[in-house]
Amino acid sequence: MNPKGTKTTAIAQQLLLVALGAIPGALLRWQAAVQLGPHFPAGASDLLVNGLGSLLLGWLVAWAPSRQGFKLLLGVGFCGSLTTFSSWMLMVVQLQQQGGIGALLWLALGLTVGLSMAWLGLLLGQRGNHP
Amino acid sequence: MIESHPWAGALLVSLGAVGGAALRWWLVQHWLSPHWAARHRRHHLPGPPGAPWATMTVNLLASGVLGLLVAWPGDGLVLWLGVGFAGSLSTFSTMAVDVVLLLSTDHRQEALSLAGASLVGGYSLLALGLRVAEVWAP
Repeated sequence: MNPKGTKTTAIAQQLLLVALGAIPGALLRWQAAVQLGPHFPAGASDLLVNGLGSLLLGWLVAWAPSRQGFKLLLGVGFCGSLTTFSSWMLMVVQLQQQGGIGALLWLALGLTVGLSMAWLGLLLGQRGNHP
Repeated sequence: MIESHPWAGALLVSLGAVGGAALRWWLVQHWLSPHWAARHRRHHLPGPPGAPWATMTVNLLASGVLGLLVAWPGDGLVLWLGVGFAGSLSTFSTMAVDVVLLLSTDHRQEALSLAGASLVGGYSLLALGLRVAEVWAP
């Protein structure tokens, strides 16, 4: 195959891995919102999936830094789609419009949960890498 | 209506998610990262060169898109473009890991800039999207 064809095939393969990871990620995020929605305050499911996704991605980045296919499927695809920045921001803007300090608290809670889970994931991944 | 079929929701979310995630990867990898790659290497930052700021840019874009969509009528459109497309175009986990990696390698100022710009920019673009939709909503 000519070099251009090889490059196109490589990009198509990478896109396929991203897409294969993205579908279960987004479906899980959606179902978390559908199932938890009636029982918890709005945005709680986003906090949950963002925390879980940050934990998994932190672990993945530290544990398998050189496995490209793995990172495309699980990192870019699955964790990327499981977690969401835009829905979190929407919640912050809506809380801000209601007034009070709810928006600031939600912002701080999201950051705290996300950063600590990512940090924990990185720690766990490093431990797995150097037994 | 298509939305009332049990599998239609899953299909709409999946279709949006494939487009959103693929576009995010494409924009970050092939279009945006090169803009910050040289600076990234110069400052010896962790992670793929240029990727943290590229991911932030895509997150801001997705926030604007979601702001435009919120007021739009129709459950199907919200599932497809809101939950599926904008939800998968934006990502939280990459930003969280990027910030923690910067902090753990003692790039405190860079971590603060990335988180601060993401929050201020994301908030502003989402609010802007909401305003624009208010004016032009059908």
